Amino acid sequence: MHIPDGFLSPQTYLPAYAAAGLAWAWAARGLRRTLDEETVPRLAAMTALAYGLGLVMVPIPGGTSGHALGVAMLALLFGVRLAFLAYSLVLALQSLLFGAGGITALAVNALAMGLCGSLAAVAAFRGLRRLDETAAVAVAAWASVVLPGLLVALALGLQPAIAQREDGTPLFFPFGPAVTLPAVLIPHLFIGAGEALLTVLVWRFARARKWCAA
Amino acid sequence: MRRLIPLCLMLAALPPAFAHEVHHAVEAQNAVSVRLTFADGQPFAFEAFEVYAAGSDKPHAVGRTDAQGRAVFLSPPSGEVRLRAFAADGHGVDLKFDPPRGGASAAAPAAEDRPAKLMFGAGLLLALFGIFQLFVRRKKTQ
Repeated sequence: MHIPDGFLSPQTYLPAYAAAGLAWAWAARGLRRTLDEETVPRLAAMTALAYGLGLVMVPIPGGTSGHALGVAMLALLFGVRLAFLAYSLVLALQSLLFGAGGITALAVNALAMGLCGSLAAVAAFRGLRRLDETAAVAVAAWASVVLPGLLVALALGLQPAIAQREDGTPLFFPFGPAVTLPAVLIPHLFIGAGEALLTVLVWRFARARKWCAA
Repeated sequence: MRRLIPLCLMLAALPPAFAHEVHHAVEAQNAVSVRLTFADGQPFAFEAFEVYAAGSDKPHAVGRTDAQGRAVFLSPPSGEVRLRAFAADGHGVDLKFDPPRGGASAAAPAAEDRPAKLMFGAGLLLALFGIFQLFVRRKKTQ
């Protein structure tokens, strides 16, 4: 789901950087007040886990492979703001060290996966926790993968309409939404199931130690 | 019959009369092969790619990678090339490199030390949080 460099037009990534800049400033407000000596090591460990999970490829049906995000566990344990900041750091490292996602696309990736993934997880969890807490965590994790998948597919699929050569051929990503939506979303329905299982395990571990913020 | 002869000559002289023929010539050439794989070693197979000569936004070559994930093309006479390869799910690359020319082979790329990079990244993350922890501790002691 990490969009590489060269796939997004400047008309997309420059406004995305402006929006992400505002979102990063919002998330960083009162950071020192929010964090204490106990939270920082936990956040560090969970961020390192999310960083590692994002680089482990797992085969999924259809002959392709995918990886977990780990953003739901960050959001459920530490809230949307910290999860967004921590996941942005994860994306920056994955991009710089492994080329997984581009620097120009970092803002779009961070907004889709870090911010919208966290928001989807926390909203789904709060909406469903009264029914069944484990199911709420599972749905939250699934939503934290599928919603960013939808946004990434739309960001890619809109590129042919946003930037074209004089003859009408796309300058950046060449496939429209009719191609990108199923291509991105269908594998992520399965990846979301794996993410749900993983997040439930981490959630149970963390809840037993009273680490949860959501 | 006399009227038909000039008509036939005129038709034969028209360029579209020959336009449906496609000729072929088999030639030995030195092509550049760029192998694309996912991080787990799976080939980036049967995906679209485009090759651009330096300074041009018109493709020099377009095609699809083969079953091994190889993008094979004849490089432009000089300069760097830009190779872009796309999968519909958003995976792909946008590379710039100087291709080997005149039958020369490119040096084999150094094997990526993925575990070392992974450990370095994790270490860097923990170090950043460690520094932040110092600020949090200072705040508490003030």
